[in-house]
Amino acid sequence: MGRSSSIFSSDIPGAGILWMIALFLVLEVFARVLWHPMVIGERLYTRFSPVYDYGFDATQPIWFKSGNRIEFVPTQYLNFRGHTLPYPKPDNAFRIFTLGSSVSRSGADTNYSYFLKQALETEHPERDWTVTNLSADGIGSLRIMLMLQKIMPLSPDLVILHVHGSNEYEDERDALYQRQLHQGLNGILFQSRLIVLMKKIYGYMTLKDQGRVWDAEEEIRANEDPANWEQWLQSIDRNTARMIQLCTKHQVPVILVGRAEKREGLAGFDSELVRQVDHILKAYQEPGVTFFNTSKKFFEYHPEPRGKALLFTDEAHWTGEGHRVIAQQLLKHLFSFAFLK
Amino acid sequence: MILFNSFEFGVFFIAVYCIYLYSGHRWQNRSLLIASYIFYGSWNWKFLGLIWISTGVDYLCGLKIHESDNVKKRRHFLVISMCTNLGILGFFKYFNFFAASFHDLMQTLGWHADPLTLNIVLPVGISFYTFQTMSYTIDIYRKKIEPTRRFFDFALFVAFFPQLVAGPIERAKRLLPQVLNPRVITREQVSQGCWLFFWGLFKKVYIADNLAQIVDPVFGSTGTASGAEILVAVYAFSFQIYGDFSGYSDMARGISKLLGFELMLNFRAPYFAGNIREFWQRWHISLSTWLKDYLYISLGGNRSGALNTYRNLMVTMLLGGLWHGAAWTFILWGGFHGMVLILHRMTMPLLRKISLRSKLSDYLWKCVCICTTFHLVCLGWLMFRAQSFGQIRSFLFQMLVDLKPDPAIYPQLIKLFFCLSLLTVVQVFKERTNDPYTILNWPPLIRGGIYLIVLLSIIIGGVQGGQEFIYFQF
Repeated sequence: MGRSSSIFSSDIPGAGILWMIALFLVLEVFARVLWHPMVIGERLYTRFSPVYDYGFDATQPIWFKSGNRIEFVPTQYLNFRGHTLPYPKPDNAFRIFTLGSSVSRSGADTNYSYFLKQALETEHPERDWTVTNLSADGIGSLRIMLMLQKIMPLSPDLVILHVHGSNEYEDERDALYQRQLHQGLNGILFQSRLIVLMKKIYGYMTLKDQGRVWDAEEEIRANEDPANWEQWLQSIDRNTARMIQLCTKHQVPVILVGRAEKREGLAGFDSELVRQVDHILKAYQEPGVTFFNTSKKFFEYHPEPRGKALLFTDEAHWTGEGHRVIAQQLLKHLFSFAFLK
Repeated sequence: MILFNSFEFGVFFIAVYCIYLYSGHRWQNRSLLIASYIFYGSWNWKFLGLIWISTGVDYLCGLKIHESDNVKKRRHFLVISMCTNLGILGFFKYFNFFAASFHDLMQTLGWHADPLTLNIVLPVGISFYTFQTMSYTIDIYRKKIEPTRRFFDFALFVAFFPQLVAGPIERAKRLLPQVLNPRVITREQVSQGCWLFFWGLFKKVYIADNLAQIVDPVFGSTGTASGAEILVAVYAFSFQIYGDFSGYSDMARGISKLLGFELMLNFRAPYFAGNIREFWQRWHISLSTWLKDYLYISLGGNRSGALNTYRNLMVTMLLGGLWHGAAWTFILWGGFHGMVLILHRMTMPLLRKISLRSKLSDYLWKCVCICTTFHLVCLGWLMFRAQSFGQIRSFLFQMLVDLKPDPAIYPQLIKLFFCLSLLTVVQVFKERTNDPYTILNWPPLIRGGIYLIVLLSIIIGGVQGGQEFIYFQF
């Protein structure tokens, strides 16, 4: 008896390809149904976000509610060291958020936000202080601004904005990477939840493709071009204005932390770039917005040359001692405000 | 250069294929010839001149050798052909190497000699097409084939783009009749061709290019890698080079099948070889058979006693090593393989006496043989990939004295697992059935599953951006 021709038999041209398409569609449906916070939980869902968001994706949340806590997303890119906050906000809570780059991020227990919290708890134990450090390596003013937008629903009582000014190039590159990710063939492929999910799991398991495309030589070339710096300073100005506007709208006080540098030949900690960035930030001082002059504070604390090695690990990043100094000075600065008295 | 693993190639091939399908035999060949020159010229059009020289000289020499009954005259034209091809190869590939080596030797002997190096660019695929055209004149000289008078068809035999830059090195006896005679593209050829192309693409962009990310940092480091990292990198390289080169060969054969051509099988699961001789019967088959037919046998092969056989083996493998690149590490690699081949030949009578009584012991013995051969080949790959003798020495030392578990290698091991699991499954089935297209005979549902895994692997894990093939540099 002859076998009838069906999709299960090999004699139909392209039967294998038809099956491939059918299997893909079945798995795609499964991915869409099962990859949902109701099924896999909020934490896993945000860990492997359904949008291909390596790098910074402005469309994705950076926090989520988990029971009576607020948790911050632990993606490879924005690793917020497992910070959580109580939800809803307790009456006597005072929430401070630090937003910045690697300088303010530093080590888990060697950053000024950490020291500041300790100092605040010692000085005023009656209040429930939280100082959440949401700084991330290599982010510039644009991404700091985008993150600030996302934390406004968490009712901050104070925001410390540390726009360091070194990562504007990274912001541009990240934005370009984001655009490229969603262009052309990739743009079509990433419409598939199955492909995104598998790409994320594969990337997680093999430590591949964490969204950070480093090209040191290109960065050096970009940094050597004065025209770029002019553009980057303009973008710091523009984004700082937007951040101040946002905080003013929500009546959230702001401390703008200035820049400091350790360079050969400098008597203090203020290079030409430090002065330029500080000049931009100072211009935004108004009621509820103050400027914290980092280079000046460092110099007051350690005017002698040996202070540089004590306070800085390299040209831009600070030692634990440097962070401790800034935390002490910030504490004084905070209580000089009427709103904290 | 237009790479098989690039978007540009897709556009190029679709355009060529459309013209090809709607042309008669004569115009099919003409369009393929033009396409081949565009393909090669996209890398550097200036070097098309070298292909034309090889083509013109070998076409004329082939005719002259055939027309003459005078042995001296025949030999004279063979020598012209050899000198032209080897001259091109020698100058472009080996001039700087030999000049630098001569200078180093003079300095070692205490004599002063000014270094003479020229700024020579190595033309892509030069070792492949020169060997292919040489085999044409040698075969005519040996009266194995007759020359063709159709110049443009001969030019297509030399420059056929799927295998121009990285083989397989075809023989005129096999490829030329396919050029000269009208071709019929069968449904079987189309399905086999598509499968071969996508399987080759998978081997290249998923396996080879991913494993390169494990290999390159270790071999590019200056003594900072641990013993475990080096060991993983050597294993990874053995599969990287296999994925890269056999992937190219598969794609070349796949494209050729779509055009109605049948190219020779270049790799046959080489890491399943039970001894080193078998390895060379499975690895880069087109080169190893070329070296056997035109070098080893010409030297006398195994016809004049054991010592001469060993000498012939060693000379063949040393030159085979040199063929791969102008560096002492390649010569060392060739010498190492020559030595292992000699040792295998010496111990063969002993090995044959081993009689195994049960199926299990026979199976275990096979596993031991495969494992030993694989590790010997890996040792060879260390020499092949290393940048200097010093690196080989330090890596071997590091692996011997500093081989301890290292957490840094765990993600690399996971990547190795991901890269090799599907490859191993498919290879095992191919080996068991002795059919390279065994997958095409599987039930459509399973075949569809395999296609999906291959496709998703390329999309999800494949390295985008058209990385070059390792064998282009040879």
